[in-house]
Amino acid sequence: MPVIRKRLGPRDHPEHDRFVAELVRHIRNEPGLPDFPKIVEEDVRLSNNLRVYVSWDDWGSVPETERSEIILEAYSQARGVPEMLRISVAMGLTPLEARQLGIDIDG
Amino acid sequence: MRALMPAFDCIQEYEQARSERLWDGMSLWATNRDPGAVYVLGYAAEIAVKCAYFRFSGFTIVQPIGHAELNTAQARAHVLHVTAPREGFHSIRFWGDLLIEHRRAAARPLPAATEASLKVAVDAVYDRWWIEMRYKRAYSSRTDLEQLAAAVDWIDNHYVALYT
Repeated sequence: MPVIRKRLGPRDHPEHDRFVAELVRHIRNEPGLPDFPKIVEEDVRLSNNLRVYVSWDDWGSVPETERSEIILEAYSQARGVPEMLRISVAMGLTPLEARQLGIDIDG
Repeated sequence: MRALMPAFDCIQEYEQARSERLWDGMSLWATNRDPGAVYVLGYAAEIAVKCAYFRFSGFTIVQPIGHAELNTAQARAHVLHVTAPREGFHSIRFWGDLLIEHRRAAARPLPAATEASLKVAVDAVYDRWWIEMRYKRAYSSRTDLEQLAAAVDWIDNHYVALYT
């Protein structure tokens, strides 16, 4: 039986970089994009903050915090660090999770 | 009593709690309950640094701070290369490092002397206080209390400067 060395800390999802790149294309609203991921931005009242919800079936195998990291990285690349720092909630949900939480992505 | 509490955390609640924990800690110190004073004063420091982070991040005083906001803070910490573990979002080192790195990323870093003093104060608290102490018997000494209290005092006196 070989010795298995455990890596300290979470490992990035194997498709982490692809997810970031795909989201960047959507945030930039490039032509010819598929319907998903669907991105909803919501201004926080009386604040400069922004809440961002991303609905995407591909999130299924991605841990919750890494979904948020992917969203923040994508905003940082697409719109710059100051815009990324405005985001108070970066939430990635599958369409089913969004429905279960009562978050209206399509509204 | 639970029914009277707000359904969500926010800066307003944090700041009131911080003030109350400060007075509670001082009362315990005055009655020679040193380990209790360490435990309660540690909360005051942790709440202050966490609150300074959310204030600098642009949160209004009544903006909810719940699971989604904390999870986003954790994600931002990773993006900004903060390596301190969050320890259930109660690590004062996590919040101190995140505040420092968020300010740097926003091109509004703390003055070097303030940042250095914040790190010293945060480390002094971190070494003597953590949330899991509630399940441990008392190990804190009078020296621990005095050193932690000095750090809490520095954080309290510089609280506004940390987020402006």
